[in-house]
Amino acid sequence: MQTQYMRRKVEMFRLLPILFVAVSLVFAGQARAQYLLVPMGPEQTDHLRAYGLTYWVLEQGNEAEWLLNYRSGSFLLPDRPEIRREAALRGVSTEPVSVADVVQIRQEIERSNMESIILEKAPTIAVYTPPNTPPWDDAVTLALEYAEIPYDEVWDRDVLQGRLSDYDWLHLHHEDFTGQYSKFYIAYANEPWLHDEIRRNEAMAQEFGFESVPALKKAVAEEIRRYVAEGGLLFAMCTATETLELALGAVGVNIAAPFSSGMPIDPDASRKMQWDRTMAFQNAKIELNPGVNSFSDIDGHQVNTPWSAPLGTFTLFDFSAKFDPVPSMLVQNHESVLPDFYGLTTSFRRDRLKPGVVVLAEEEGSPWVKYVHGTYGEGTWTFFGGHDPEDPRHRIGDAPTDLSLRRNSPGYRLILNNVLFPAAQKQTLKT
Amino acid sequence: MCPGMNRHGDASACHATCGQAGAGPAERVFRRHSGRVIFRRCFPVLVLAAAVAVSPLPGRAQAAGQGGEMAALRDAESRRAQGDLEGAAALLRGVLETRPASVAALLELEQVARLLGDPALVIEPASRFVEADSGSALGYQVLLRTYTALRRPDDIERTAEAWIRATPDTETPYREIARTWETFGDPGRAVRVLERGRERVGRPDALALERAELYARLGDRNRSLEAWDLALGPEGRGLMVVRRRLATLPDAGAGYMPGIIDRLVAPGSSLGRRRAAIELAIAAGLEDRALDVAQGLAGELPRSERQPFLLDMARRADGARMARLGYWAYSELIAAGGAESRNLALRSRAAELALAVGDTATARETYVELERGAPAGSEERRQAMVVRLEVTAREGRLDEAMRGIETFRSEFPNSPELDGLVAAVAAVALERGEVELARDLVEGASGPRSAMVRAQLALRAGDVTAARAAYTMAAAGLRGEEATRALAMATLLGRLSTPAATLVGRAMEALAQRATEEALALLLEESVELPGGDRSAILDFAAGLADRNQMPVEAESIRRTLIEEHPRAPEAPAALLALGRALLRHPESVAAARDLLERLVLEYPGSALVPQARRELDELRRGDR
Repeated sequence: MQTQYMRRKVEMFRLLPILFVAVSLVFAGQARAQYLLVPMGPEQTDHLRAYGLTYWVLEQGNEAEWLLNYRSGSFLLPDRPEIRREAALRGVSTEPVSVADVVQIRQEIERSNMESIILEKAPTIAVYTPPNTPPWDDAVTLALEYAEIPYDEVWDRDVLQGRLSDYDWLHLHHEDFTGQYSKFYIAYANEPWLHDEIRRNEAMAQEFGFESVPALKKAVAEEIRRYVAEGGLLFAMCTATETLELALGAVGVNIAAPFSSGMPIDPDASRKMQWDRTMAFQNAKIELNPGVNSFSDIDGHQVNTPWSAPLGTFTLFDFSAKFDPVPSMLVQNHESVLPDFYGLTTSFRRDRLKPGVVVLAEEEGSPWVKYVHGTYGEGTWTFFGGHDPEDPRHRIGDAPTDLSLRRNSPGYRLILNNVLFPAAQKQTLKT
Repeated sequence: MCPGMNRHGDASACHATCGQAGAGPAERVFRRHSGRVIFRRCFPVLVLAAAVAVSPLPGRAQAAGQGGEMAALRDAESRRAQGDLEGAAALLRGVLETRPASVAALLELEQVARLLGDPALVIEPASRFVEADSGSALGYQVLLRTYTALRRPDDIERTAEAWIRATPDTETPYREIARTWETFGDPGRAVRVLERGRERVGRPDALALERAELYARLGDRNRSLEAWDLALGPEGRGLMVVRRRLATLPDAGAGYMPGIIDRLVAPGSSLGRRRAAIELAIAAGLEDRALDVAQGLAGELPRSERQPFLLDMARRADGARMARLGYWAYSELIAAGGAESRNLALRSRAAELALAVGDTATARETYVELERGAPAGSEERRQAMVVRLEVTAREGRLDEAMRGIETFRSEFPNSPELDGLVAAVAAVALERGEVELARDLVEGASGPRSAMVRAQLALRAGDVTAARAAYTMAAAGLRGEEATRALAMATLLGRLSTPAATLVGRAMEALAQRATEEALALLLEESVELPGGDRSAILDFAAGLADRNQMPVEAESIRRTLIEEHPRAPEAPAALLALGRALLRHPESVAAARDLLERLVLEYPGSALVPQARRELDELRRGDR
């Protein structure tokens, strides 16, 4: 027999769900959506800071999702007051989405060339850059600063002392790993800043017991290669791409001008290069003339030579988001054809690429490509030609690019794709 | 799909990825002459070529060139994935015979050899790698790892010496060799290698980080501190990497932080080192230390650097939730003057922090100023009023607060903050025992937070049903931990008998007056006489209270009681898991923790908490704890 107490209890139990639903409807206006979608199509107010917001979310210990090819590579974040606040402060537009909305999104992802990648940790980032270099001198540090993504600066000392293993991702500033100071002596021989650079590098070489700056840079290049082989993720732009590879291949052969090496360039350098040791390029011809402002014929455009090629546009490739998530991540964008931009190394000749290199973007119909990626040992590398996506003909002394005026830059998005992709779950990075 | 196919279906990019395209020799021959005759002559050749192409001959990749090497590597990976480790190893050895310096093949072979249980497989290829690429560390590293796995110290020593001979003046060999010896189980030898390297390389900071870590692991505190100091450098530039390495120590480096900070702020230290000291103190949660150093440093900085420094301190303090440090930094920034809009933002933050540090008088004054300065009906005025009224209530001036709420209601009738404001003032009223006042306050309010107060009031009055309904109502409008707690209360009240629910109500009364110990004592002592189902639920509730009020000893004791007295209660698995996790924090009770977690898995196989217990046990087994 039920007591009055038990009958009341049973009645309450029956009413509870109804009560819950009724109350939910009453408070529906005050209740929040479950997720925040950060759309990355043309409707986004600040694409670049959207990456920074996502990074910040990861730093707070939350997970995020990268929806590859869904609305140009949108992000899905948890809906929390502090995340909404941060998005508002950063000027990043977001859309609250309910669980039902997310179900629909996932269904669309399932049936299309799209994929959801879980981003689970904020990668530790190192930027290889000489000390006292202003951040506006390099597109990647500009992007990181604007997006408020923290990074550490490392230089030769840190590399030679094995510090790279502390970082998930390494970006190379426009360093000339052949040790020739980007051949700036041709046009800027009397500039104080060049003399400072030479002094700094020579002091470092002496401190570490190297007979010359080229020898120092070769050792640094070797440590970077080891970093990648052991699982590190490398991103390089401009001169660093080509010269890193040249430094790796030039074992026992001098490819640096007398200005920096103190001896003539080996006339047989091209034949003696050990392309076995490089990651991306092979069979290139070394520039033997110290007066020519070029390092080798890897670069397609050769901007500072009489045979410089004009700029065109480059097109991003499509990839299968489900089967090739890594290249897909690297090309996420709201534009597919981008204006090209010069750098000391602007592009990469197709016939100098090693087999297995994945081409991410090319200038159609031309003999060169713009953006490439590959694996090496346990790690990966990505090379992007050119100096600054929003400054096609950047010259030394030019005003820095103001990213607040370029917050939707598709070129800078490619850089930030590389910053965020190490955050993906390990099994994704292995595919 | 070819990974290089572009959007127009142009396969030209495939050449870079997929190897050569175009017509082969057989096809060209067939076209040039009469088809049948040529086909008869070429047929045997074609058959033989096809047989070679499909045959699983090992080392076939030798003749293929680099495009063939890529294919062989992919083939090896595929065989490995299918479990054909012997086949994978054969292919990789073939690649390395053709190209001894192939990094990908060597590293892959090392892994396959390990899976095969025959690490020695990689010795010969690694030795040839070293000969072919003597400037590279990779070959030596593979050899060292292999000899470590095979427990061959003489070979480790021989390889180490060869590597040092090859590159005696660089740090890399000494670093890696020391790591090898430590893995091998001979940390003494590792230390000697590092010291030898430091002497040979000749720089004081050579191998400093590695020495610091190793000495820390060996318990040599003084040498470790000295090495951390060197690793930080004269300008403190090594801070980030030192912090990361400290975090990997068993106590996350907490034992070393104060000593390192002392060295960083020693007389004569550079500004860079002192800034590093502040960052380290903040990371270590040493707020007083951080504040002390920051105040000293701020006084020495030129005006142009002082402002950015203070801003940096303010942001770091916010990030680390260090209210006193932040309060100082914001106050200094306000005193330095600046644009009015910026000052408004700074004053607002300073007022919040004043509250946090307990300086309610300053906080209230600041909010009054902010309120007066903001336009009528504006969001800034509304928010400043809310905080001002809460502070007024907290200072005990309840009547003034209540009058203020009436003014607020008339000026901002639909304010979203009203619910929270009313609940906050009502909570103060309850704390002071002013139950009727609290009841009056929530009477006209609607919202989840005032619902929580109504729930407490109902519980005090013994109306369990009304309390449960109010908690349920509150849960629907709250998020995260608040919602969980409200729902947990509703569920708890649903399980308890009336006497037990009344006991909980009395405990909540004590809690409202911040008498947590009294509340716990009440729950523990007076629940003894209650039926079993009530007692276990109340013990579980009490343990949660102890957790939330940072009373770990009490929480542990309560959970032990629950497990001992009521092993079959529904709350027992959660108690086992929570107790196990708590014990894991202390190295001396890891064994006891393991017992508890195993008990959860074995005695409650159907519990939803078993996967979590398994995860904890797996981490214990792997030595991740």
